Amino acid sequence: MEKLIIELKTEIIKVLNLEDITIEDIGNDDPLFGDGLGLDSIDALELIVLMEKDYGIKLKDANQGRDIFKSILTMAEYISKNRTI
Amino acid sequence: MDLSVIKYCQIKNNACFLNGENIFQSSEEKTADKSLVELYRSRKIKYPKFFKMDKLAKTGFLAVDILLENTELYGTEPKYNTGIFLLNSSASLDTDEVYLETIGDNYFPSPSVFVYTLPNIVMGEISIRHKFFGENIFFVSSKKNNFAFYDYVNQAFIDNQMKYAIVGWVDYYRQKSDALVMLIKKQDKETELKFEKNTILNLYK
Repeated sequence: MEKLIIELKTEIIKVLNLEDITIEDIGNDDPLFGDGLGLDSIDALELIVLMEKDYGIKLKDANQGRDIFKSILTMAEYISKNRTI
Repeated sequence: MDLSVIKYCQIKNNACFLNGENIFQSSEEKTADKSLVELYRSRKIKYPKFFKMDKLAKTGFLAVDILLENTELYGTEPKYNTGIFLLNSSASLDTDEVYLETIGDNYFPSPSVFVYTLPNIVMGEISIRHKFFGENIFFVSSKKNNFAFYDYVNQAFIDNQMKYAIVGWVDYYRQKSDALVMLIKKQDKETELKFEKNTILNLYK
């Protein structure tokens, strides 16, 4: 799980252009949206693409995203249970 | 109606000029993209969304941010009396090409690149930053001295309740930033720099 968490943080910083942020700055439980990393709706779409491209997960219900994208930890847990690649 | 140019800001060849004075120069070996980030940091601007913008939006955002420094238009107080009128020759082609590259064999286009595949998004970024709610329009033209565009700006001052307008050229294509933006208002004094053909041609030199 720890390896997946670091991989996710690295990829999120890259695809979302979080220029001033390092993987150490992102806590596993920090909220990704709102007060945490401050991601927006376009970033959410980018995360959905990332899940499909890198882990073969297709989100059928957009409302699922609310729970999955709460934090890096919730994302990693969902990916480890549902990944197809 | 006579209009005057209050201030102007130019970004070109990895340098930035405010009212003709060189205020920033990056190494010529740096890519234009890296030079824009260096310019952003040199102005001590705190706006993390800058890093998510495409290069055209970064160019326009910085040129206008520097233009508006120390004016009443800088900041997040809502403003309803300011128009934005921009033009360029490359539209959003630089980002269009990047977007095309994100589409691979398995079709995974990038949403965060896609949102910038229109040149007028640069005006959206400027408007969000400074809370502009006035008229805005983006022209695509092969020439900087497209006087139909400048006639449009004049007409907009006649037809609207505009007090100020941000007007000019904002272009980015293949590692080349080129922006000249002017802050325009209705002329108060004869001594002010007139917003007219010769002035525009001189500033673009």
